[in-house]
Amino acid sequence: MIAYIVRRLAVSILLLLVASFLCFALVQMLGDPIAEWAAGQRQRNPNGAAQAVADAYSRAGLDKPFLTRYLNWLGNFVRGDWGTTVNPGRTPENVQAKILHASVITLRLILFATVLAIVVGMLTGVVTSVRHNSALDYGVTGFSFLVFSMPIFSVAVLLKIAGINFNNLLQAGGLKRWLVTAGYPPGGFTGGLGHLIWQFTGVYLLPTLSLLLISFASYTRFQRASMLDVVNADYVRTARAKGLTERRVVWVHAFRNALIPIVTVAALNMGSVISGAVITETVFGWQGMGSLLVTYVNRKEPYMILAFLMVTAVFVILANLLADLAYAWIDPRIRFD
Amino acid sequence: MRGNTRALAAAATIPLLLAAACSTAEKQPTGTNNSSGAGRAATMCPAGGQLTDLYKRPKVAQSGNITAAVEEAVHDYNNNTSTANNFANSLLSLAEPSAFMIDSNLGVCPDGDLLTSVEQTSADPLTIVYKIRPEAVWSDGTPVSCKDFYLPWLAANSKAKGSGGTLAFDPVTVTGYDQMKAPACSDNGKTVTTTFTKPFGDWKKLFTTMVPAHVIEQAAGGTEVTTITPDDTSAKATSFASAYIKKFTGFDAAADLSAGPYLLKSRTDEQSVLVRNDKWWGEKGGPDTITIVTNPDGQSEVQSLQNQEVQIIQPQPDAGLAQQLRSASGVKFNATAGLTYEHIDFQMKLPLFQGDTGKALREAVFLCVDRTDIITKLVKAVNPDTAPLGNFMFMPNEKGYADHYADFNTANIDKAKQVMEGAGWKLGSDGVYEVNGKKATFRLGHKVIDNRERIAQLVGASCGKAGIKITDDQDAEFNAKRLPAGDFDAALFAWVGTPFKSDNTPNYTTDGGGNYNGYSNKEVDALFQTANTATEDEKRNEALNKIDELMAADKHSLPLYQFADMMAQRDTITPALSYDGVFGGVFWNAYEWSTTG
Repeated sequence: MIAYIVRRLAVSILLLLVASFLCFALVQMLGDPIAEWAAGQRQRNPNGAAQAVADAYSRAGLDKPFLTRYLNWLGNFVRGDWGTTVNPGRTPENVQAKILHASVITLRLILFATVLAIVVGMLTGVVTSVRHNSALDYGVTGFSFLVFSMPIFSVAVLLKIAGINFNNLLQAGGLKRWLVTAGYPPGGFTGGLGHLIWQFTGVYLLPTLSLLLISFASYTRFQRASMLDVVNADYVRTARAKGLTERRVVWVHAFRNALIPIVTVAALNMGSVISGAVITETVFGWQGMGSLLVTYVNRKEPYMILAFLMVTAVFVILANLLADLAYAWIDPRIRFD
Repeated sequence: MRGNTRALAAAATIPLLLAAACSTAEKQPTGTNNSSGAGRAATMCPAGGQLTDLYKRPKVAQSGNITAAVEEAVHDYNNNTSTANNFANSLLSLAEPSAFMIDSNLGVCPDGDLLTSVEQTSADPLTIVYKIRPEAVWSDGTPVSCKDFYLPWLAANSKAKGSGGTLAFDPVTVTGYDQMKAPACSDNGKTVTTTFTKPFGDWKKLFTTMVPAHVIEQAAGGTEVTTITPDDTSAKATSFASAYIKKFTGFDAAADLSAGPYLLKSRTDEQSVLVRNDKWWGEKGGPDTITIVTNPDGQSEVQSLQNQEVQIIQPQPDAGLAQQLRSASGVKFNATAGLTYEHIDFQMKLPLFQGDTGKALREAVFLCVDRTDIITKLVKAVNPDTAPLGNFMFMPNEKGYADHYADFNTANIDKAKQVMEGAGWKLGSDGVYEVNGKKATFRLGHKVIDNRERIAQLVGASCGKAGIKITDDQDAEFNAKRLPAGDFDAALFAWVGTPFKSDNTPNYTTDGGGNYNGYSNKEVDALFQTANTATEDEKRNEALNKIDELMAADKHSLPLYQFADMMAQRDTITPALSYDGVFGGVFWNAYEWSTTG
């Protein structure tokens, strides 16, 4: 087992190295982050522009050959120096501090939404497989396909409209508005425990729900299909023949064996959950990894985008590693050699 | 050079317009200083326009918290360095004093809360005397004084070098300060006398959003700012400059003092909070706190306004958002013509556009482009009042505006053909004019922006009827690389207008830094010299209009229209918002906001 983990980690590091090179090359194609500022300099400061522009490229390290830039960046990145923003029209920002701050915001959203989506998706999948071809099954199937086929931004915008209308109803009833459609409450989270719970649920409910919905559909469908395979297996028939209760048959004998596809889907889904969060955060005005990416792509900030890509890559690779390890826990027959 | 966001536009242009760009907001009565109560109008510069017509912030009732959304958070206190300079910081004009106020109607007037008087005591040499109010103090109690005026002059002129040999004070602009002798301080620091080595017509743009000099003096170990001269490149000067840069980068409550009605209490990327400045000596009204939340998405801003999370927004102009805001209940929407304007420039170094045939081609394009149709299809959904722009020097609501392009509001295909044929162009079998082996065909270059692509399509379709083939030439790097290099046949891009006309000089004078299309007219060059040194408005405006007339006759650039500035507020907020591109957009008069919600 330990040898397997070490081997997988080694492969993951190699994968990250390749990913880092590809990311670096792709980010270079994004365009020159200094060119537009340089154009402005030449317009308003014709005499001193040449020196100022050369200084800006030098400070950003963009005056060096591609490979040198890559190796410099990689070396610094591994040592924990993720660099600063390079756009000369703005005060340099520390990339690591920005990314870590944004990661915390995004992880709160993603983890909560993912855990909820897995739990709700699996439960619904199990129930609809046990009652397959029932009205409930058709209803859940229809709803799953509906949200599965909708772009995340439209789910988010529709949820916000519903939230605004709900708040209007609360207000009309003499109550305080509850659901928040953008960012944190002005002034931050304050007050006693009851008020904090009120604020947290109001802030997190809509974005969590929109992220949950995009993942929920696939978890439900996979869990249902997997359960249907398992409940028709010989060993389940044997369990029933032994006189075990249906609850025990489903949850103890069938459910665990039907989990492996879900673990695979959850690991594979991690990438799309992060990309979904990019859109969800933008729609909900959160200053997490999503809006950070959008902002700094618009500014063509190479080191910020690279750090984002590397953190995301680490996150996805880790999720896949954990999925591999979970297989062994779920099904001890699986061997790693 | 307006990009796809207001922030991008500001980043590219604000340095040019430190004390310049603002929008042409709705027409408001001017000179009113007594606004109070519901439905009142924003207080504008007094109508007189004389140096004795001081701007005074009005008395309004104190009210609770107002939350507003912006695309980008305030990030630095000192907006006067080229590194920090950005539109996002400009709302700190609520805390940082400026000698002159620029209202949302482009009115420029002395700030009567800061100054008791401003006087031009001599025209030759140009000498200006500023008298600072005795009661004017920073929020730590230190008097606002002459040294606060000396600091921006020093920052602009200092030759001290920082790391890498760059200018240690990193000034965003030196124009004007570089023609000024050291400000002379008297009257216990409350009188500032500035003398110019040569006349500078736009002297009112100087001393804008000043920062506290005494904070830097303390940080630099007690060095008096007035003991440093521009030629001083010693360690003392460098260390003073270093303190000037470092002390005001980011947020530091102890350093980021206020000499305005509001004080920056806290700042994060997510939200900033301004509170009323207890030490403010003027009228103490307006919101108790102004919370500014960051929300880069326009749609999200609109929904948070509808959900009453924020009371004020200023999103990018967008037809869909405008429609939503117009129909939203409890919301007041306003869209006004802004200072950023779209135009088409011909590359005058291209043989196709030279000589008599070239001039005829340029004139024919002026005639075949349907400016009114473009506006109807692309702009009116946001601002129905948009009209074709008729002057490069003045915006329509400025004194001095005269329309020199009225003959080209709508397409006149027949006349375009007549002009072409009159210069010897012959219609070819392919329906395109040609002369001496040259075809009347060229590329219209622009940055990849939906709106510009549609303009290029409309121009191409309209001029195609006149036998002129114009093809769309869009490029993501157009503004960044090709435009400054002059690598285009014709270019579609935007400039930002300014009440300070010397800023236009590099765009239209021979070999000017912003003269991307190689336009050259010696008479225009000379007239800019006249306008920039004229200290009387009438003489300056006359020269500027003559420049515009000459440019209209030369037909090297066709103005299209002004972009809209969009803003919306809950109907519990008064007065109606207006937009000022110099002082933070809608925030320029936040001290007179009040809420009943």
